[in-house]
Amino acid sequence: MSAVLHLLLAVVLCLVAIPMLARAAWPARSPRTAVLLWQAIAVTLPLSVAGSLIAYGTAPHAGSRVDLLVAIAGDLASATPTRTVDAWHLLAVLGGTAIVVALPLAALLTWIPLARVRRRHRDLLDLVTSTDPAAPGAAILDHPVPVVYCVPGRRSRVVISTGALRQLDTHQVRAVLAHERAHATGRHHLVLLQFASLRRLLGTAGAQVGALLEMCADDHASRVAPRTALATALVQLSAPAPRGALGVGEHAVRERVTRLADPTAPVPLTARLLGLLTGITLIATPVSFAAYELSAWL
Amino acid sequence: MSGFGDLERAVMEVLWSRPHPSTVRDVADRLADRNLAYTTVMTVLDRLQKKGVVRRQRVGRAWQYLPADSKDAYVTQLIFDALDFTGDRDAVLARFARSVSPAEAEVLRAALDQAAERNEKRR
Repeated sequence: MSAVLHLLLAVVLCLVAIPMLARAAWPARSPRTAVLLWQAIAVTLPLSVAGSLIAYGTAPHAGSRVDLLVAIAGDLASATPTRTVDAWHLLAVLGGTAIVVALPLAALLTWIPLARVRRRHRDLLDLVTSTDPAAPGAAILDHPVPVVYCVPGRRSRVVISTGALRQLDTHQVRAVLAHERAHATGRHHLVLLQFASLRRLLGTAGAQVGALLEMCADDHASRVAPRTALATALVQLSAPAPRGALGVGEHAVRERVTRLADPTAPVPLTARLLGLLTGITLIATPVSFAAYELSAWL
Repeated sequence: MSGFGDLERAVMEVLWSRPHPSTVRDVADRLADRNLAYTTVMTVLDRLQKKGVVRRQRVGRAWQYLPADSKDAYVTQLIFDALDFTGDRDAVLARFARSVSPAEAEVLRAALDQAAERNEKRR
């Protein structure tokens, strides 16, 4: 029973942490740490719910799970079953297992249509865009509407329209392209996928993670170009990014501009490490239970 | 970008530049400076057809290829994607007036109407 309590405690901790993290001001100062904490919660919460159900269901049965299955099969075959497992425990195990199966399935179902839109978009991009030394590494889309965005994935593309090139100066172009490349190299779309498929469970956390990832990309960009260049470009290009792509100017524009214009120091290193340790501790609970449960099958 | 992608773009440029449908030979001739084998051009056209950007028709014993849509149409499609145009036009235009200047909104609205007309005709 102690496993059940331990896992339930992890669930409670997540439920307490979510509103705290959503309301906290520090994530804007250290967005990367905040994203990692959100990810830890997004893994821990559903796995701990599933784990506590499975732990409750299997609590009466120590020892090999294979033997247990054989005993249940024997019950089903026999005319006078001994009822190795009662209905509640069986239901709990089935429910927990369903959650474990549903998580990757939900991610896959979110992923497939997104990947299709992205592939089609990228195929067309490769046919109609050109390159220009003024925007190194970017595909240039010849259109007067100013857009800058990134098509994430293994074959990612950073795209800038001629309209945007006309509006932005050299520093601004360097800044926005660095911002988009940070999305691609940081695999931000995979982080977003995790939250998109858990939208119902985590509520507005997904939107906050989106804004935090934009801030992460802003921080990357400010290493290669002046912060003010990015801030002014952000104001000029507030056209929304494509569905399934990540772009400049979608999330929390006002907050990001303020942050770029008036940078505050990041959270101290020790506090950030503490945040990471909290995340690891959270994840450790369902992961160690999963390891224990797996070992019971061997 | 892969060499193949570059080739696909070059072949599309040839198709877009010609007023009439082209045979593999036509395309290969126009790309003579690249020294491409006939079969290479055929493979590229085949790939483009599978991607749905090239259509082909049989004329006599030879296949003729033509672009499924104009370059401008594809660029417009990409920009629509880039501005997150959805089926819900009202919601799209409301969001858009906020982020794009009125003049640009006008241009895009016109492009959107044209695209809608094109889709009507196709049906």
